[in-house]
Amino acid sequence: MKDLDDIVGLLRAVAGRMRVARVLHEAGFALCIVLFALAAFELVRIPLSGIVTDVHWYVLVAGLSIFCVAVLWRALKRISMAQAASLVDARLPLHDELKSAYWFASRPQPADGQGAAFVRNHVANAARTAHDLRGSSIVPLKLPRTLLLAVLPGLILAGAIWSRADLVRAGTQVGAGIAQVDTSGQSARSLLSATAADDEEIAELDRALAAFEDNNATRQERLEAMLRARDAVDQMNMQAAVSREGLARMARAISEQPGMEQVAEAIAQGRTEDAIAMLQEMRDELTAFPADGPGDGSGRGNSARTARDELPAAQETGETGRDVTNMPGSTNPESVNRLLENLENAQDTMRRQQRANTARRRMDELGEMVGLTAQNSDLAPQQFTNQGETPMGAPSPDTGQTDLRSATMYRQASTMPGDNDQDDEGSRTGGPSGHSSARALEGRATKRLDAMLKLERVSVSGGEEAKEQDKQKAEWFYSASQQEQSETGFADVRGRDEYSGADVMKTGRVPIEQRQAVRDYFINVHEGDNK
Amino acid sequence: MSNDVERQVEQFRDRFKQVTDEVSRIIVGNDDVVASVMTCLLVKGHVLLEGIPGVGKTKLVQTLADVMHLEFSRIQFTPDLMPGDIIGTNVVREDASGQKFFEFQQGPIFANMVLADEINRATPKTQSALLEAMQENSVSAGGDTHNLDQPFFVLATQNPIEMEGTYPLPEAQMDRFLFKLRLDFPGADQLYSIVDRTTQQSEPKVRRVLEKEQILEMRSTARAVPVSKPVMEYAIAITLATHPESDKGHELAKKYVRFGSSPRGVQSLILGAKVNALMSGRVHVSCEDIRAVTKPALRHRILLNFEAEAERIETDAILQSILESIEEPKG
Repeated sequence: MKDLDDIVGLLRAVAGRMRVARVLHEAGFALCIVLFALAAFELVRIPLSGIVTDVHWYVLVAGLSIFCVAVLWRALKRISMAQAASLVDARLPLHDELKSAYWFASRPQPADGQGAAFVRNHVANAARTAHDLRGSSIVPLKLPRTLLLAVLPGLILAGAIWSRADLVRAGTQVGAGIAQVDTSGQSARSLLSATAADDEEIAELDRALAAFEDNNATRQERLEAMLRARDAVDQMNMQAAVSREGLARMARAISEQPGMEQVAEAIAQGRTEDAIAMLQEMRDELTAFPADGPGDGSGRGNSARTARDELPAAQETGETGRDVTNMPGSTNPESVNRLLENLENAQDTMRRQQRANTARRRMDELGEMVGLTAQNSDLAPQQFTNQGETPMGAPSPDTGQTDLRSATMYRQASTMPGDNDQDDEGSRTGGPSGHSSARALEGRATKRLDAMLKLERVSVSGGEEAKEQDKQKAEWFYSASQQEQSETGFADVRGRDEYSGADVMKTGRVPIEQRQAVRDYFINVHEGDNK
Repeated sequence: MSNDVERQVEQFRDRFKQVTDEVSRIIVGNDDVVASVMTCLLVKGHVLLEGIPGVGKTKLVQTLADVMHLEFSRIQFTPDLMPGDIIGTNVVREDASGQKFFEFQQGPIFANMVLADEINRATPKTQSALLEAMQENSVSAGGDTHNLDQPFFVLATQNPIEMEGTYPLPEAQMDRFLFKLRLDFPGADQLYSIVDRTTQQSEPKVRRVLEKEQILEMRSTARAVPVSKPVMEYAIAITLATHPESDKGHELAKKYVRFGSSPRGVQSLILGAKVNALMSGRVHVSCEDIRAVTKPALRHRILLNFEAEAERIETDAILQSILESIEEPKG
């Protein structure tokens, strides 16, 4: 019994230490996996903030929790005495002495006989061995290597968390920055205050800017607001471009009218306010000294306007100038009024566009402060299709082009005022790679870019000599050789003839319908014989 | 009691060593083969020796018989050898009164140590004459059963390369042998020793160091060595791994083995391991002892399939793979 106590005492000590060692090992392993998973999640979370959401975080935490429970359950599993004995036997080594002795000692032993004596001797030997052993020498406790391995993902995780905290601080700062801008009256929204509040694009831009400037807005919400704002600005840019086109046509139309040359020149040069002043002066003169004329310009103008209600705004603006032109003798005050009205509308549209672009630029600057537009990956190509291309020039925002941080989006309509070509009228979309040059304000006249397509014939053989050689080759093919002998051997000719004969005899060479005819013929002959 | 056990073990080792030392005076090298033959003798087993001609198979058996003071007989197996030539036969005798009667004339199998030389040259019928003697230690002839004197020990030899005109041993016959041992061709140093010893005027002589009673005592000691269940499970796992149809069959066994080891294989493993443990100074069998005797105990009990024959796969390679794949029981 004492022998069994010695053996069991050692085995219990060893089993306990084995369990502790296993728990340490498993804990290190679990810690390594958990830290690695968290570090990977944090690393992915920063660049993919739009994709990785809180749900993913909860799923990760749940998965890691289950994993930890499973590891803990495995680590805390009971270690049997036989397992401990096997370990001791293997480490010392004892040639299965303890394992075998424990098995014999834990069972009733035979009372007598030679075998029983051997068993008792064996157990006694094992007990002596166990008595001299210490569990600490067999299973020394030390930190597992997995804990050392956990240092690396731990450092990565700490770095990722620190980086994220830095971003959060930057986000807080932008809120303060926006508030500061608001205080100084230079916020992006304040720039819109002078524009028409009932305009749909302005309202949309205002809403987007409000969402953007919201201190509680998340990064994703700010990004989406920025996208909406850009869309609204693009729309206004399109409208402004149409207005410019109309102004250009207006200038072209009224330039032919006597007394209107200066007005036309001012419009063409972009001096809208000068043009308005001249027209107002002209209107005042016409009002003070109305001219006698055969026709009633107002009625014609009204009818013309009615007919043009469906026309686009650009054409409408241009037609206003044409109305003035069509008035023989003197200029109709009502037409001048309409001209003024359209001119002021166009000017208002361009101002609106300018303010919207300024507001959007300011929004971009704020976005850059918080890192929304600091990286190209944030404004990815799937969000702005033209992003990533380097613009050819640096166009003014007032031209209607959409400035992005690393590219230019050409979405504006451009005027095409040709010298003698009315077919140039209309809009043109610039090339996405930046081939279209920037338009000056008020539509500076540009030349149409005509592509010259040339079809060139390339000589393959090259030169008279080569042609002569080709000709000789052709003649040689059909003519006899210089020795006046055939170039083809008899065997070849005969073989070719035999091949042709065999080829003809193949049934596959006979068309199906003809084979059918032959078959029908012989069937009829056979049936005729039967009759 | 402990001292008594230790004395028995020490005595066992001394005697064993005396025999092997004496044999090594004649037989050069092959110490493990000599030890394995002794192991078979001490656990009531029989040995099949396989080797090319001239490597000392017959000499080994003769030397063992000389050393152990046992009655020795040699049977040269030939195709015309009949069972009666081995077992013996009833002959007609006449007493003094002229009355005739049958009397059993013992064959050469009635000896303590029987050398069945080139056993595969006899017909299966004659080979089968050894079956009962090897398993039951008795011989039936003429309606009578004759017990063989103990220890009874059969050492059969066969040549693995001259297969022309031979009769390979049937599986049942092969299974009767505890071990199948291979005598390899000796190396240069061993050849030098062989030539040196056998070409002098007088060959070395051996002395008898073991009596019949001592052998029986050693047998009893070997059988008394205890084997724990985990070790037995290890031996069983090895045996089951040789079976292609078993769930625990080894991958190579499933591919190359037609029939795995019989239950006699496990018995051979345990018995051989017991002697191995005693020779290691232990009174218990370990898994290491099982591994030491696995190849000689199982190599002739595994029947390879055609694919293995075609790819020249040997049973030793399969057993080695099995030993490497099976883990010791952890309790």
